[in-house]
Amino acid sequence: MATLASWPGIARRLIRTSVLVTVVYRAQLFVWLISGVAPLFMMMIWWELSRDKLIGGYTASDFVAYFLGIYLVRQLTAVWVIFVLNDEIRQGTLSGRLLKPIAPFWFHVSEHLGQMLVRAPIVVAVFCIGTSLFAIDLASIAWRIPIFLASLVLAWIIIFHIYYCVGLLAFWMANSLALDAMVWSMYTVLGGMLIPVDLFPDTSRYLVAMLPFSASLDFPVKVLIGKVTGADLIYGFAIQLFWATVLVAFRRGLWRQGLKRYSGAGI
Amino acid sequence: MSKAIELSNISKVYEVYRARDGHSRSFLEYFRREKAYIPAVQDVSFSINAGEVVGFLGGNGAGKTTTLKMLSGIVRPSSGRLSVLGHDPFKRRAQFLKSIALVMGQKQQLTWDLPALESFHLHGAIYDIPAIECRRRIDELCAFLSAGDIIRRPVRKLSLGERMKCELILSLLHRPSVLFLDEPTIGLDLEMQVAIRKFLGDYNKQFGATIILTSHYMADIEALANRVIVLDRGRVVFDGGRQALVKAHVNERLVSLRFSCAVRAEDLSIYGELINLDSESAELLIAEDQFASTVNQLLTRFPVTDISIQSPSLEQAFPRLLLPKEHV
Repeated sequence: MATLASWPGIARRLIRTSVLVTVVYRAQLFVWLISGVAPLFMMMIWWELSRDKLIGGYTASDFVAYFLGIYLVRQLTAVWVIFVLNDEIRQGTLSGRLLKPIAPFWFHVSEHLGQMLVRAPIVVAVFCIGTSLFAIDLASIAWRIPIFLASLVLAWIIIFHIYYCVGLLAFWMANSLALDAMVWSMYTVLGGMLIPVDLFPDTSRYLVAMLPFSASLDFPVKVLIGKVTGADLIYGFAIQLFWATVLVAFRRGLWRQGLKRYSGAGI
Repeated sequence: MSKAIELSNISKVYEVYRARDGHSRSFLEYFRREKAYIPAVQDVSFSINAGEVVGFLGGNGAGKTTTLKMLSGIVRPSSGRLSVLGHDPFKRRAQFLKSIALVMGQKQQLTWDLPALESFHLHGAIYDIPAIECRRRIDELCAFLSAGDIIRRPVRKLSLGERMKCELILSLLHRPSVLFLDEPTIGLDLEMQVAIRKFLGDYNKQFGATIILTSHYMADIEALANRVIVLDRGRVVFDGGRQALVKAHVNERLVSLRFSCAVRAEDLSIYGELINLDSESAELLIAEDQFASTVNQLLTRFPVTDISIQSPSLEQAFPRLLLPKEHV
């Protein structure tokens, strides 16, 4: 595909295009911000329940930090590629992208990264306001930011690839969006958006912690708030790397096989 | 002359699910669907020299667009051998993709919400065109197509013709040596059609580009292509010169006459097939081999005040090739 030297220029242009499109849809940005506040409601519920007692090793302050973290990670790793792929494959608009000398995958990646650049400052601001309102020690979080960013990037790769693979099923199915609700419910429950994974019963907790959903949501949040350290931290990263590798390979295989079935319908 | 495109026994079969009539049958489909295989292109073979302009003709569903999709690497052929500039298109190697462009009249590659200029610069980066050179080419193409400041307005605010100009600029920015055009003038007004035809002709001459063009407007083909390939139900039914196609299928000329007074149908019909007769005007189809003598007789025997003769055209020849005689 494109030469290595030309990649920075291509990436800059792709992301710039995505940022400009995001800015055009300013109203959508605010709708998205409002629709992502479910973890903050969960935060209030758990905060209320744990005000004068410890639940599963979490204090009220831990719950607040955890769900603010869930809000932050969830918003920074938001993925809508399933809708894009489903439309492009079904309506044949993928054809235009197939004509370009860089893989359509990179167009999809840059669209997400560009939008994130616009959204991230707002999300981070909400997170910081939340932590100051509940007197969470931001300084203790700050020094964990580098390692959190590493886990966040891996989390994004995992969730992006899960949705990408489901989206690619449109090569075989009439409409791959039918699977979106299934993935979303697993991500919500098993990722820790309602209940922290640490509070799951012992028997299921180990299993759930090995799944890609917790690796893409619960784990980076725990890294941020300091709920995972030492061997557990290394184990968490190992799980993330495992899923990232498996899903990248799976996405590439699905793409190769799916493309053979593509008919470019609609053109 | 070197071959730019070679197809050998190319076929494409689409797998589709057949819909059934009735509620109960439709319900059964939920459990078991009936597959059908639609041959879109069958055993197509031809080759095209570098720099040649070829018109692809055929009715709806003839296989023109599917062939273009295979040639541009979007769709994989079911069988056969295919080579474009020495590449297997479906492998979609960067070198191949940088040498071709596909312009689809009804689909756009421009970013809908942004000015076309943004898409041009993105295209320049993707195709490794240095920024200064990219700007120079944009200016040059804008001047060719009289695009003016439309490239600075959001694409969604442009008219169909203006969008088409921008599509062409985008597709030609990397100077493709093979250009696939699928209905490039569809929905455009006459003035715009003429401008785009001229532009494509100039591009072919200036860069020696190979062009394959599909269009339902015969004027597009007549203006640009000397060679035509006609497809019917996925098969090549004619491959040769445009003039040869016309000659083989049109052996009469349409003559329009205007008279100074009314003439009778029975007097005129002995000279040819009377298509139309008004009080003081008529249209006659006259056999090619007796054309000169018949026109001479008409001019001497009738009070003709005006005469116009239509040369045999692709418009007349094309339906005759595909349809049984009684339908033409």
